[in-house]
Amino acid sequence: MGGTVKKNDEIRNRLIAAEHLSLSYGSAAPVVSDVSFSIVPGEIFCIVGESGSGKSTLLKAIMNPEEFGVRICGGEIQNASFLMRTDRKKGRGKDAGIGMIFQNPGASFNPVRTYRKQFQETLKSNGLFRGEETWQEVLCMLDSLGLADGGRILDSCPYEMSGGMNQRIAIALTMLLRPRLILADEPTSALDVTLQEQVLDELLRARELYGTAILLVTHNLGVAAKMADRIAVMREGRFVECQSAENVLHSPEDSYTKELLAAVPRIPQNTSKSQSVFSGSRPEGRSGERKEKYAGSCTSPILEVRHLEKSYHQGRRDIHAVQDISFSVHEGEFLGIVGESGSGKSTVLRQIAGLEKPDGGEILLAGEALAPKRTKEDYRRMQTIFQEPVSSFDPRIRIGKSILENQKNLCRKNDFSEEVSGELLKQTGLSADLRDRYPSQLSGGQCQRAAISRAIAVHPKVLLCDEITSALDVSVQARIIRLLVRLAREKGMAVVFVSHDIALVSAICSHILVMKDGACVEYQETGKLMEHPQNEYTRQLLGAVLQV
Amino acid sequence: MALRKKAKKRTIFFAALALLLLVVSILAPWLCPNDPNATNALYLKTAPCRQFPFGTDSLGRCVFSRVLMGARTSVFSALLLVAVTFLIGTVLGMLCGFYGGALDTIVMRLADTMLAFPQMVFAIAVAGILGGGMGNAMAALGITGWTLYARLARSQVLAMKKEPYILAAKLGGNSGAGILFRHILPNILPPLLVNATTQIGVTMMDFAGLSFLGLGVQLPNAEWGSMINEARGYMQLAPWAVLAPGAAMVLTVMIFNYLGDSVQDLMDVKAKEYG
Repeated sequence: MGGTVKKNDEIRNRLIAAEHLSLSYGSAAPVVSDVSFSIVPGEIFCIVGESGSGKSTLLKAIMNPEEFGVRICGGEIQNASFLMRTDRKKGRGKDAGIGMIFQNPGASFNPVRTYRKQFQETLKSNGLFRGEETWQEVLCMLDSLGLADGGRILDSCPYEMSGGMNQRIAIALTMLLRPRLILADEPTSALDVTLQEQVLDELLRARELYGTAILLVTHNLGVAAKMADRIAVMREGRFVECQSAENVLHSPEDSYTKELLAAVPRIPQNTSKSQSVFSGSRPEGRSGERKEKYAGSCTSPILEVRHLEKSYHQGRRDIHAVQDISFSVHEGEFLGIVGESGSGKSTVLRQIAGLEKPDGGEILLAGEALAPKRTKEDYRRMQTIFQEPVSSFDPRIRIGKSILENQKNLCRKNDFSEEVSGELLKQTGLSADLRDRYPSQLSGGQCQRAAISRAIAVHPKVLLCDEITSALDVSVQARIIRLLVRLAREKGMAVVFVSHDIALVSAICSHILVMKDGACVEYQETGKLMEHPQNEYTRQLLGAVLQV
Repeated sequence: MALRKKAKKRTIFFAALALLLLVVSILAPWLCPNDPNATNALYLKTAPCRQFPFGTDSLGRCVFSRVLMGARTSVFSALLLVAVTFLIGTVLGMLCGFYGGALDTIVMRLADTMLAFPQMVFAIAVAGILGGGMGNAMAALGITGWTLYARLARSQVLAMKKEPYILAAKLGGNSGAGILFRHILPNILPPLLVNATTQIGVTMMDFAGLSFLGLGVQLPNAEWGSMINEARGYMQLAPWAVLAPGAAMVLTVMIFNYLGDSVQDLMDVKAKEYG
């Protein structure tokens, strides 16, 4: 009996509920089908899914289906009465019950107007502006969300602030409208990990203080694990699992959920006990093994970088993009370079590849210093894989031809033939008939495999990887990484792996170099770095990793 | 898909019309019912009739024949000029965008200087100095004409240069020229071609303008601009002598402009489809 009462209470209480909801664009096949859920006040409900799973469509349908051209073709969405738009003509007032936080932190504000003006505008149009009194409220809100010195913030412009700051201020503004429900669409995926943590804490604090319910859409299971009370896992428009966070994360029922969980890179808790899909991918993970292996035969590293420097002039200022970076990589070894955006990690890689001239320092390949003007042999021995898989192929040239062109340019005549391409694609797990496709006809993961094929086609000694998985879904990422690890081991390639994701890097690399503001803050064996990080910044990075 | 079909249909339609114009202008000498340059004192300013479909001018020349022959001068010279300036401008612009440095500075400052003069005034000055004649008129328009293509090509290359696949091509051991012509050119060509197509009509107008001022084609050769100029003196007496070349002009320019437009639409639709 008590159960029914409670249930009725819940139904009365719930802010929003979807029942057997199906959504489509125009007359096309449904993008979302048969989805049911409800959110009660103060709850954080996470929808987790990879790109194309329909999670954004679902969010659009909740916000305003007509505006986004989403058609409800089955089931219904019920909003609690106070969330309903009572008067459409009144404009902005309509959304008082629902607040929205966007992925792109810049999207919420006009970059060249002060926050004060924009706050005033938004509050006025919602009928909440009452002069001085309101500003007191605003300052209180900023203060309560951990943004000290609110007055100064209000008088600055969004372009002066970092993305993370912007996002936090956007949350503050959203909270000022006292929404009962916040829709957050990938609120942290454009941010660096340390900022991500702050923003998530902000949302949690908002919930704590005001009892706001949050519908959080994310591709990041770590974010979901930190935030959610309940998690729905979405795939191909359906909820494959919708349970309490505890259950989803620790005893998932669906095989897809399990796959997703397994694909999340983890920091090895204990170097002797490795786990997850990346297990065994650190061949030289233990210092002892490595010394043994390289003690006799191969003492000189294949790639050595000494005191690399690069600076730019921006106006009158000199920006040191890279300062005194030195490291070395041996055959078959993975070196990870970790840092946040703007730390100079990509610049280092571009200098090694030969796309930018260093201002100082040396790059030695197999013991010989490389001249600033690279020869074809230099290019052959060092291949680069880029972040954006699809745009790293000429859109007008078939994949096979692109790969072949590399071989024709860099290899001797008898080292390849028209037929190798198919064999090569198979090595990276692609079927041979993909070589006749254009890049736009492949998925991101397939394109990245093709890019790896193109690189290994010329038998390089060193593979330079620039954030090669950050544009990909986590399950695809896991497969690409496994492939890379296998190939590197088979072919004895050294890999320099640049990433912002310290968990991923620690899972595959034997050494890690942490960069901040163009300088190396720590360069250490992975195990030692994980167990005893010497630098404060490294500790911060490690602390910001969201464990699943 | 439907959008694309529509755009394609439109492009084909206008391309066919443009082709028709081209064929007519090639075959003009054989299509003329009368000798375009023969004067006839018996038929001065005759209204359109069976023998002279568009009437005759003040010297009794057949306006229809002269319009046909004029098509030859107008269409061909415009196409030739656009082709030459397009080629020179595009290659220069691409080299500037790709290599940068001193070449870029010199060529672009030169282009800026050219653009500082109003094109028509500059062309009048050049044609005035060099004297009349179609060749000189072309040179006059060409001197400023290439800058347009150069600027566009340069900006396109600058944007394209940062694309990962261009970097990949560089790391794949391609030479500079190889990257420029095999990878960059095919990808920036569509907007350049659209631009060139829309310029055909403009160039034709410019030619007619110069001819109208007597700086283009020399008498007695027929050209629409010069025909309008000749006949405007007796427009009230023989309006057909002005209207016929004028209408031909409007139609031709319209066809080429619409062609440029529909090619642009087609490219846009295609770009949307391929992402």
